[in-house]
Amino acid sequence: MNYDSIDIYELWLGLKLSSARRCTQLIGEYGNAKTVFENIESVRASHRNIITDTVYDSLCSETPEALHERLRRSVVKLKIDVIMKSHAEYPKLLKQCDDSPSVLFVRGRLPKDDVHTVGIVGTRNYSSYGAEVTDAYAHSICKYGGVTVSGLAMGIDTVVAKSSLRASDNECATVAVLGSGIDIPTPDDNAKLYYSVIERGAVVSQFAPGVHATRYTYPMRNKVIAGMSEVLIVTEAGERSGALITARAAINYNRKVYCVPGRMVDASYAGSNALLQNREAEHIPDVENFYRKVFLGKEGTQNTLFDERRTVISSENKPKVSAEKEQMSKTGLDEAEEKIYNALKQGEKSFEELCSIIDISAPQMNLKLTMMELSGIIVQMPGRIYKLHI
Amino acid sequence: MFAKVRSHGLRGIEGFPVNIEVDVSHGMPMYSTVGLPDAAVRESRERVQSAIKNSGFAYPYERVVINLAPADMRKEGSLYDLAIALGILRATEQLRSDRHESFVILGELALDGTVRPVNGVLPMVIDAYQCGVSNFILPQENANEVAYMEGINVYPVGSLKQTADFLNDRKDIEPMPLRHWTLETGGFSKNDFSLIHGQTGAKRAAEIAVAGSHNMLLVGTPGSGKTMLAKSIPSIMPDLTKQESIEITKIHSAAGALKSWDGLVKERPFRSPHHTASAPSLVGGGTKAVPGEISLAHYGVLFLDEFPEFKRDVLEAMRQPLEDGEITISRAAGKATYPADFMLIAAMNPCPCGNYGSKHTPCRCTRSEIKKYLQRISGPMLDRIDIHVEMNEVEFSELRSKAHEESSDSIKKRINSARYAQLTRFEGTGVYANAQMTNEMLRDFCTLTSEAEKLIEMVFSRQNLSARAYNRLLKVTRTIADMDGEEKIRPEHVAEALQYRSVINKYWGE
Repeated sequence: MNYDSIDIYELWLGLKLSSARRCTQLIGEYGNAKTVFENIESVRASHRNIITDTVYDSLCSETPEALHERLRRSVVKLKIDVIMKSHAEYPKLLKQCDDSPSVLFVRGRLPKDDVHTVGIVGTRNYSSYGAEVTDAYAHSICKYGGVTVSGLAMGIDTVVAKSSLRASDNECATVAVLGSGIDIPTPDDNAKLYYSVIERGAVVSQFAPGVHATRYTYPMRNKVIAGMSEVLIVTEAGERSGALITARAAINYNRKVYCVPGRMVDASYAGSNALLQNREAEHIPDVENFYRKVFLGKEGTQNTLFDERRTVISSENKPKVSAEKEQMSKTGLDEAEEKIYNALKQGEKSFEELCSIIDISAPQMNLKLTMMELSGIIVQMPGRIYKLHI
Repeated sequence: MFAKVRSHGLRGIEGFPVNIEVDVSHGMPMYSTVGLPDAAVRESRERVQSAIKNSGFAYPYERVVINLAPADMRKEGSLYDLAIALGILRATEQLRSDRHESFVILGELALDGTVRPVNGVLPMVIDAYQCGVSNFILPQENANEVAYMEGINVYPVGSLKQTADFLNDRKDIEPMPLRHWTLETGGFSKNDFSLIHGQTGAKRAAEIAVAGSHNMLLVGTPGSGKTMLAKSIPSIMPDLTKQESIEITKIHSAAGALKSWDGLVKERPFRSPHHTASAPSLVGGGTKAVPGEISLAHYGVLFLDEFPEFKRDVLEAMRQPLEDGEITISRAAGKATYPADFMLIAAMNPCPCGNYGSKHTPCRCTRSEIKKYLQRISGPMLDRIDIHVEMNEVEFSELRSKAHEESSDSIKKRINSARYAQLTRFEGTGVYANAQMTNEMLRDFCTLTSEAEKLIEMVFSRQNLSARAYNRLLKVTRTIADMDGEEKIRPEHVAEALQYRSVINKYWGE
């Protein structure tokens, strides 16, 4: 959509009124935004609750023309798409939400409306388990052709964006919704990721260029994540995690929320577990079947994805790891590897524990573990602890 | 009257001859020292006067001028006391012959005339010997240091009186008997590997690190035994050769760091400076350009505990000596080059609270705290460390287990054979261990089997290895293959070497 053909009054009203619902209400009452602008004094008189003094001040501080001109520079320079709620380009799912923002700034390419979008949210301060689960779901969703939506924050959001960029073959790999103006990569640390997402997906924000993130912008951002997602996955949320705001919003929009359960003792899973306990969220289907079950309504039997990911590499050209995990040992692994596999099935083990359980020398153990790691059967975590790949 | 005495000076660990000229002439009683003396040399006046008086000689109340030649070199320390006193005795004809001129004389004097030990005797004697001197008069306590040198006569002295009597042919002094180089090998050191329970992986890594002289980084939770492992490492290092021992002793002698006056250093040094150490204390420096910890750790281990707590500039200062094996320090007082060929062992916690990755204690740090903590170690520094190991708490059952753990001596045997293979391979190149290989040598000496080649290719594409990381990986694989006695590098060697890289990927990757 051409920037010049935008209704400048709508842009002005949409950006100055932070509540999209009230904006829609005013436009509904007065026919269009221009009328609101022209009769601002009478609007103010009749809608004191909407046009409060501060809102009035900000409405009067800049005319629609001036605002339009002010934004033009960054819009042109950064190739920002400005999409009004009335436009056809506005994401269909988001439009269905009555409080979705009236203006959306987009850099990159939004997914088509027929592509399934899955929001994946979680804590900034994640555990290695949370990261691994997130990576696995993002990977699987992208491989099936879905698109992930996240917030580009540190932690789980970063994992989502990175895994999606790595796994996806879509023209839009992932959507990142910012809590700041579209031109400001937030947080700084993810600036590089911000540009990769623009390149291969879309960065979205409801805030005009130049706006800095505050503690109030993030909850608004979270609602947009919920609104753009067909279903939402909470992979790891502590008691007061922002991911819970996203989950509540998704529930309000009648979207399904899936939750990864954590151990009861883990504080970083307190929020997730509470969601499950209160039946607000559903227990998540396993990685392999998630997409099929949720979007295709059927369960598969073949683990095609994992065959692809776990190509065993070795000098003897071992056969591919088969779908049935139980059979894997018979085909792909030698005796020691099988023992390691079985030991890890009981739970994660450190290198030392493996050495004490399985009677092979340290150099041999190193060899076996490296081979299994390269084959994608096991993963190594901080503390030199090994576990089976999800 | 005029007298001349020979002595020696030290700059860094290089000596230079010093001629002490004493002139006693009529005039107002005075005493003056020229020839760039430092405060310690200038103060010798008081010691010399009292010592002469208290040894039963007469001090001349006349005009005494001492010149330390060459006059343009700075003279430091108290080592000229004895020589100056003898010069005055000769100038006043209390010494009856010029016999002293065939000796190089070193030693500090006490007020009662006792001779005290001085620093840097070994490097000075070696240098003087190369200048053609073979007779030395040294403090008793220092004589052991040079007792292993062939072709010199060392006369240990205890007092000024004894020295004067010796030079006047009144009493003879037995020259120091030549000692033969022996090393008490075997036996049980208090840091033996058999005392470490569990930690199989880390012990194996230490063995490889020592075998190829690779630097090592230990990452682990508090109490996982990082320090204990590091302290045990000298016990599995190859035995010192005489040449190495002399080189180490030279540095320690010059720095005054010899633990006992017991002759040569016979154990590999283990230095563990505190993390508040300044750059000069670590690499050497100060007004006199004295050797730092890295030089004192020459041919031994430099252990840096709490690695990220060291100041950034201190760590960065170590980068060049880590590459070159020596350091040149320039100060106003002069320039000195010290060898610094050491094995760096660094230990650190994985995060500020220390428990990141622990199985038992949850970590209380946020991601950004951990990141910030890890980033205190620069990339170039990490690049100079070949082997990275993680250590975790030892389980109680392992601590209590009576299982037999291998002793340092039996590990050392394997290391000796791996080192021997390296020595034969690198003969005549000046390189003695795999860690020092140049890129050219990597190409010549690291032949991989085709399977190993395949594996490395695989890893390359999966882990985005840089060329430098690849070279380091090759060096470690070479060492592992040497320990197996294999000429060609096999896939299991590569696989194991990869384990020692995984820490970088896990903590510093992405």
